[in-house]
Amino acid sequence: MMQEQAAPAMQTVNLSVSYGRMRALEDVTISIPPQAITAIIGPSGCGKTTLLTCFNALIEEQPGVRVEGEVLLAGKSIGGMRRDLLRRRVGMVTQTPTPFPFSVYRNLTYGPRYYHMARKAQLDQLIREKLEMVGLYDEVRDDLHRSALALSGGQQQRLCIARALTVEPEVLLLDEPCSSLDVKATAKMEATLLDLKSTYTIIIVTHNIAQARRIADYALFLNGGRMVEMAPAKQLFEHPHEAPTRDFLSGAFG
Amino acid sequence: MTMQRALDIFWSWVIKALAALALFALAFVVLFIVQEALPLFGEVPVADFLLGTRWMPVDFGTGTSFGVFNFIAGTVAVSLLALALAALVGLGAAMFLACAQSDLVRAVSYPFIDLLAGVPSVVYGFVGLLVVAQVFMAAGISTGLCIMAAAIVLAVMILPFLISSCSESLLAERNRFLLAAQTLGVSRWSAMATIVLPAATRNILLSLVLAIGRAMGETMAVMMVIGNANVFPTLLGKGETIPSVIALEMGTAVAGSLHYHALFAAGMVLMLVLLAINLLVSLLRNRLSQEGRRSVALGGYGGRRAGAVARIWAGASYALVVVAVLFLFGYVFWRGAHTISWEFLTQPPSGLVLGEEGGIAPAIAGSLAFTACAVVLGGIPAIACALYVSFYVRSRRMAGLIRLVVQCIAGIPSIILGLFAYSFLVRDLAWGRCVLSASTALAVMVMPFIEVRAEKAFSELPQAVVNASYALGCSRFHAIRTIVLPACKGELVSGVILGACYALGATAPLLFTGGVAFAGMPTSIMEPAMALPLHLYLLVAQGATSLDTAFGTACVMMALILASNAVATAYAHATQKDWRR
Amino acid sequence: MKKHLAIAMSIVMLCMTISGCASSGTDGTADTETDVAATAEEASAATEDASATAEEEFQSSIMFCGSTSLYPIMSSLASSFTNEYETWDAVDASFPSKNVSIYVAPGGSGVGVSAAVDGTADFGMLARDIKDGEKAELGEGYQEFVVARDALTISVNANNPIVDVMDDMDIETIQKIFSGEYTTWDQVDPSLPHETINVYIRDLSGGAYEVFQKTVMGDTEISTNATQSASMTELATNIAGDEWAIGYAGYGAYIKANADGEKLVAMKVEGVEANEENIRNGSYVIQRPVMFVTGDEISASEQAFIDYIFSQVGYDTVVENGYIPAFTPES
Repeated sequence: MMQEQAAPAMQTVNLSVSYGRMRALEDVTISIPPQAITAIIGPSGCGKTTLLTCFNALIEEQPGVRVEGEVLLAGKSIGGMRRDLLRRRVGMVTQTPTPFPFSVYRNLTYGPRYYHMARKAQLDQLIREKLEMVGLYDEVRDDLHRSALALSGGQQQRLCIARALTVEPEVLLLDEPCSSLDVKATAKMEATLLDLKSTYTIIIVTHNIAQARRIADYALFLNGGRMVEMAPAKQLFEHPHEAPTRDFLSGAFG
Repeated sequence: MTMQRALDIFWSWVIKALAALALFALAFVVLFIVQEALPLFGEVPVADFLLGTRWMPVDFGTGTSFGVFNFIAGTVAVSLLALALAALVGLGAAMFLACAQSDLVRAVSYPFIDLLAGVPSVVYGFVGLLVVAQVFMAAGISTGLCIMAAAIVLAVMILPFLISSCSESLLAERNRFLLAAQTLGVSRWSAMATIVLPAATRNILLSLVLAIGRAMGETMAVMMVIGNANVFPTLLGKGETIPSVIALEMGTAVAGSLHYHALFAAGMVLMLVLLAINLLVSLLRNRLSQEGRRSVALGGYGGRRAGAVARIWAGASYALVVVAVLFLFGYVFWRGAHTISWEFLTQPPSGLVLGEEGGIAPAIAGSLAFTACAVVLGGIPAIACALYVSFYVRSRRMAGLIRLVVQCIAGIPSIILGLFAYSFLVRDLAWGRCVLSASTALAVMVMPFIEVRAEKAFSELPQAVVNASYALGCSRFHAIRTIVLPACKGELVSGVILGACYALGATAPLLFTGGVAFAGMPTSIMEPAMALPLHLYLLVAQGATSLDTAFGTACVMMALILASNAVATAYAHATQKDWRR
Repeated sequence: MKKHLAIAMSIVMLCMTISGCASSGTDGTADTETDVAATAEEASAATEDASATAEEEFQSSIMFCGSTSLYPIMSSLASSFTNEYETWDAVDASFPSKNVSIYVAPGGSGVGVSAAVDGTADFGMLARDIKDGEKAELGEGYQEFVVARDALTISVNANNPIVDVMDDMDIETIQKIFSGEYTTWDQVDPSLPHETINVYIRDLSGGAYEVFQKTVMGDTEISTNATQSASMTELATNIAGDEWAIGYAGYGAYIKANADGEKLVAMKVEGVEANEENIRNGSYVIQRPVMFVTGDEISASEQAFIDYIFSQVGYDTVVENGYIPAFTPES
């Protein structure tokens, strides 16, 4: 049910984001429960991706953006945190798969090497572990040194997740990860996410309500940059509290 | 058949004919050069020609000999060295530009660096002689003229091309991968150094190969600084390049003599090598786009340290480039500004020693005449060709072929165009030395420049807009006339102005075809005329007494080019805003 | 279909032009040249006709082409002539009132002769004697006009210690230095330091090169290590800037270089000093005429300009440019 006693993995407090004169997010205050899948849903342009990129401070990379309010990771504000440390703890997978133009092996060792996380012997084990976590190991074990660009779209996306996991994050952000995948690949992806949630906190932006129903533990409905409603998934989808939520779910707009 | 329809068909045929003319020019120039070169090999075996080191075109009693080995070596040596220097600095500057967060940096930097591209070859040689050679002389090299000096000057000349094409490639790769790397917490520069740069390797290599082509075709600047001695090139020694030999000896060779054919043969060798390079690059480009699934060999290594090194390298390179631009313009203006006066700009040269008094008015007018003629003769086929490729051609292969041909025309060194014009137009067709002969050579030179820009302008227009016109039943030409041309007006005019600048700075094609040391104000295109770059070159040759006037001339040229660049860019911007609302 | 048509058209145009080119091509020098010269004359005559009205044969534009030594002088004279008389009727009332157009193109002595022969210039400028073959090609109407004399000095940098050791060189020594047989100064004289001799010459196909080869080198070739300069002034400047240099700077360039203090020192050749008197009387052997030639008949306007050249103005211009006039002014 709603009352999770564990401390929230991430929180936002009065978060507002504007691009110039346009307000993308208005006064958003939410708590993301740990070790669960939270889906962010809403109509196009409501600020889902903007909110997501606030969690790992990637929003700052965009020129001309102003962020007000606070974002907390495990209770501590991320404002003062070193960016590389923040992003080790909060990983992200983007909409289109972006494997680096290297081999599968090198894609996965890239992060750990950067952070001097493991020696060569340990790397192999790390890689195997993460590939198994995303269910990709059996498919690539024969040739880890083949180009990551030669994998199918679904495989690439799972590779990106594995890559994000190599640096041992606490939270994993996913921005519409299945939008460029076919039905079969999507199914595999959803299965992977369900496996992962026991270890990681997962926040997923999706425009696919059915998908949210399938995998989410909690759902957050954004509209026009404002948070409208957040509740355990079953509750939100079956008995939405607010009128806009009801309208959205019934397909009146979006 | 309505009048409208008849006109449309007529104009469509005109466009096609002009496009064909443009392409035909390449074939003709190449074939002509080859035809004039072949008779040499009836007397001199190919091996002797290519590998011989003795070049004695005139018989002083010891027989004649035509061996171009040292010239080939000189050309290659200077070009490779220049490329190495330019790559080091240019790639760094390109990294800086690609990594820069705000578009403003790029928006300001590109035109700034493009100024370097607008500086005429002869001004580079001039400054090279007075600055670079002096440095070497102070270091102990007699006269300071050497391969290294020429390489430095040449490197600065090919920098703008390298920087713009490399930064384009880097930017594309950056947009693909930077975000993903940042989600891992990797710093911006580390990502650039370990992912973006390796990813762009193939495209960068292609740019380098193309740059070599440009370097090898350079004539004036290199000729003024390299020393011109028929010896095997050494770093601090003198050398000679094929374009130098042709420029220095072209007019002397008696028509039909072995010397004459030998010069053509040397030009042919250079031209064929450059054509081969262009073909190679084109082939590799096609293979490259199909090979997008291969992984990059180097990359992913280095992490933070690579990022730090890359940042320093990029910053230093960019600073160096900025300094070079400021120095070049600053030096010329500082030394020449005081010579410029109303009299200087409006009076012909006078004085018992010509150039000491008076001004350069006929040179200014002459240059404008050459340029206008060249732009008309070359710009019209260029735009027609671009229209043809963009809107008429159906098969992609044909389009690719036409682009290849245009690129090959661009690869012909300007001195060879001058050689062609001299031999064919001045002599064979008996047009004599006149503006028309020279302008035809300039037109061929300028044509690819304008064509590429026109094509780019047309490609930026959304196809959907043009299709909407077709959907209404309009003919192709009608769509072109009413939609395409007005929409692309800004870019087209800008491209033409920049092409004019390019023609303005060219010296080599004028040398024996229509540029003279003295003439009155130009009155007809069948008469020769003075030209600013040629005037500068001759003043430099005259030596110390004319240096002031030389600087003044250089100043005027640079000012014209600066002004034109500014006008062209501003016009393109202004009209673009109108169209895109 | 349209594509094929375009390609076919191109090929046809190509073939036509190539065959046209081949027929007026350069196989067979003498025939072609006369053909081209003839068509050139017609072409230039046609051009003039286009601008002429009643007077069909009047030549209002004159073209000089050639020697890098002479073109500055001719340019200056052309400029002052055009300035003084803007139209031909100011020169002589019987001439039509057309604009004076005199063109001077540089290129070298070789270019000058070629241009005169193939008709692309009215006069070829030379800074050397004309060869018999060239004279024959210009035809029976050959005329030469010697404007000045120039000598090639054997100059060294004023800071070279050799000036304290010797002031005279014999032909043999000069040959050895320029051919590269002597590579260092101590080979010329043991008291000199062991520094490389830097030889400066003019470009291979220029008049100076030929004159030097003929009068000094004979059958010996000049070293390929020598630096070629595009003009005499450049050559003199190079020597002035290089302590260990030696080169055959033109007399005028030599005088000019020393205008603000001694930069160059000229060696005597076989005991004969390079001065105006010795050049005029011919005892200084390394000298050359500076002249212009033509093979065509001289038109009235050309004659007017030639008279101008050989007048006081011309004399002064020659002297100012550092050459020794080969004439005494008529007016």
